Amino acid sequence: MPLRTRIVTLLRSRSAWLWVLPHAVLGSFVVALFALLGVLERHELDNQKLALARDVQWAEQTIRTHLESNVHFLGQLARGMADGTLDREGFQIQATQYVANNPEFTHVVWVDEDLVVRWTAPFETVTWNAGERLSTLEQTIAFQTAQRMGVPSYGMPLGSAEEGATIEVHVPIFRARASKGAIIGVYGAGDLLRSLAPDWFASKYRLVLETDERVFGATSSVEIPSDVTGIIPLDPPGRGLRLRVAAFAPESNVTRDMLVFTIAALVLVMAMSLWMLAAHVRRRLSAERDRDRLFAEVRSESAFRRAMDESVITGLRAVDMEGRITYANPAFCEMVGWSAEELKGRMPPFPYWPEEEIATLSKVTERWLRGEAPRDGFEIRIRRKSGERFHARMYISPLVGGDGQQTGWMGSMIDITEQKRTEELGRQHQERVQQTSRLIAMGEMASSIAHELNQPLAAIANYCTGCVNRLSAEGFEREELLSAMRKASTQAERAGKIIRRLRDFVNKREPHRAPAPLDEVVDDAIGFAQLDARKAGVEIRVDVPPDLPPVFVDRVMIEQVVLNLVKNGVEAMSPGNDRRELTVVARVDGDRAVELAVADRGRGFAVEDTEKLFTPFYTTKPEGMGMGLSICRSIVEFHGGRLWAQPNPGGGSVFRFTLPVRG
Amino acid sequence: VADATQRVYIVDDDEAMRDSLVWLLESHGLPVVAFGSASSFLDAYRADMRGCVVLDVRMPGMSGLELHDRLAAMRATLPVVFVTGHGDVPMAVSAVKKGAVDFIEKPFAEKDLLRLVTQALELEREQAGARQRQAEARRRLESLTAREREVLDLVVAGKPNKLIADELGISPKTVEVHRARVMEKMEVGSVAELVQLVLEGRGRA
Repeated sequence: MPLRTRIVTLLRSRSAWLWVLPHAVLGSFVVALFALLGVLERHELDNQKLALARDVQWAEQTIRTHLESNVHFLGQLARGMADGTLDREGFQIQATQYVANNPEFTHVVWVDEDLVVRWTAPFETVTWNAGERLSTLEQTIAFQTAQRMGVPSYGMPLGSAEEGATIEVHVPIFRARASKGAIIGVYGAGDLLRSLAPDWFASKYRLVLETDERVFGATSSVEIPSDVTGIIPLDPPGRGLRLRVAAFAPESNVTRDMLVFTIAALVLVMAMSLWMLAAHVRRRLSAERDRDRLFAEVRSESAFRRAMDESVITGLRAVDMEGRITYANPAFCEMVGWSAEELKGRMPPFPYWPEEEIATLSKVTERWLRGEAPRDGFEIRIRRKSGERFHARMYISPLVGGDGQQTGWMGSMIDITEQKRTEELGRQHQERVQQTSRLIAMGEMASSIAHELNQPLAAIANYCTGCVNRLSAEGFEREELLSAMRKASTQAERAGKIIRRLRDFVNKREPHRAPAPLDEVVDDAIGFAQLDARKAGVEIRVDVPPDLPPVFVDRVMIEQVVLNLVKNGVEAMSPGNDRRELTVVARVDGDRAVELAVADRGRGFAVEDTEKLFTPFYTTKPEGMGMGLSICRSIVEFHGGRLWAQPNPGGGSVFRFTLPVRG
Repeated sequence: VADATQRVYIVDDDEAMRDSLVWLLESHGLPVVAFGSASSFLDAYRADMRGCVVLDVRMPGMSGLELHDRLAAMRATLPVVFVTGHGDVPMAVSAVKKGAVDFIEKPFAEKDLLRLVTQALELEREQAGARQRQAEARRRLESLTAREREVLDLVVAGKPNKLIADELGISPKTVEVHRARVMEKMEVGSVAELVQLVLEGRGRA
């Protein structure tokens, strides 16, 4: 057992280490994955920046080209004005068409040398009306710079982003060295940004036109903080004016997001499965422990069973549902003389059945295989291997397996040879006792009758002797002698009756049951007992109603019972007793029996001796044999009644017995 | 067999037994009185009854033994003969030890019963005679004077007159006179008779 424990402990500590590994691996895996994601993110950012730089460069190029081509158009107009080939109508047509084609322009205007607006395209405008004079400092600076330098000049944006800032480009007009004013292209700051950047660019980046101090326009009103920005200086057109390009947050990468999500989910699933695995292993371990414990229990249980099996002296034998022996314990084998191996698998008729009883036993076996075994077992004779026979008692009970299904029958067998022998001895003994008790009862009867005969005999002798004496003396009177002789013959009759009773009793006769009036039976019995009672100074009070239903009895036997009980009662009341009264009372007991009670005021008996009273040879009388009550009980029970004793309230004993009314 | 005042008292509860006993004893000329129970005998009992009792041992109510005990307690002088049945012998023996004359077992022969009854009557007669003599002796003794009584005692003790005179401090002559008076009053003729009488008077028959 200690070895097992050590191994289990070892396994358990190893399993703890085994658990660290998957957890660590799972942790590292998660860390590595997120590191990878980080790297990818960074890589993405770098790529974005690179793309931005490229796009910005491209945009700058495009913007410059575009602006130059605009200036070129404005230059054409200026030249046309200068050489006089462009009249007002031509200006209007060309300029309006251009503005329509290039939405970054809001207006194209001719101002004369005094900064007064002369022509404006397109017509339908509310600003730049002809005759207005440009007055702002920025416009003046731009105009004069252009006049002075003779090249197009950009002014600083005017207005704010909210109210639509404008940028002007002044292209000077010279006719014969004389200034004829300037053609002014008016850009809307927002329109400029929108037309300069193509759609794909605008969707990717936010373009902002700004100086250090002010913002004049943006492609998107949403300010976006971004790591990825590029600056395009618009230096030539304006001072400090620049385009800031900010990349929108890249559109969420569905694939990547899906990937992250999937990985996270997988990690979660993995963690869960690991946890479930751990729980499962824990359960397994606990189940194993339970199983080990169960195993130990089963082993000790089975050892206990085996020990019990080997020590019981009851023979045990199991059969399956067909009657094939599946098991026999050592006690059974020892009883029958065949070994368990020899018996196993045998079908009825079994080898231990005596040849002469095979037919009977087959029937019996068929019955209990059908489940009709008698509850209190049945007796069979067994033939040992040696051929010797013995009596056994067999009990059959169903054998039920662990699943509640009956798998066969268990038979237990005990050797009752000794019990049988004892019973036989007991029976013989009982017979002898009965014989003896009959003799004793007869002896007692004879003694009682002799006792009673004395009385009339002595009287007869007295009468006769008295007569003889008188006759001898010759001084007699005839009447006197006659009277005495009559009295003597009366006494002789009395003696004769007593003798008749004795003959009735002594005659060996079969019990003859017939309906008999109980009061007569009792009176006859009391007649016998009266003498003893008188001698002992006991008064007998009889209360047996004559209208009781007749009892179905052997009259002489019941007389003996009554006589015996009355005599016992009389004897129990010693001469010193001052209440010497014995009562014999009968009453109906239900509608099928009559109960008779004989109550005395004698010594009584101890309650614990109640049953002893009725055992043979138990007596409290110095000359008694102790047979009387035992015989009385046998007689009453023979009649289907019962006899019992109770203490008499107030002293003495009551003996009661019942007798059947009908047969 | 019996004198004029003696009776045989029979106590037996069995009527036939009682009646036949009367019949039998009367055939011998014995005067018999019968009682059916112990208590009826006790009711009739008087101290000057003469004769004997023939008593049945076993009777309902008061038994023969009990009656015997009661009579003894009353210092009755009637001798008792017990009649017993079969098996009552030990009881009868104990009764005899207590003073009964004897017992006779049923069934009995006439002569045995007669012998016991006769014995009892004779015994009673003797005892009655002795009682009578004792009473007479006492009566005579009581008639003596004190001085005569002193002289009597010394005479009975066997002392001669001279010694008696010395002892009583009187003259021998006076002793002679007293002595003659004692002999006269006691109605005896010799010293031997005197001694006999004094002994009887003291209750030693």
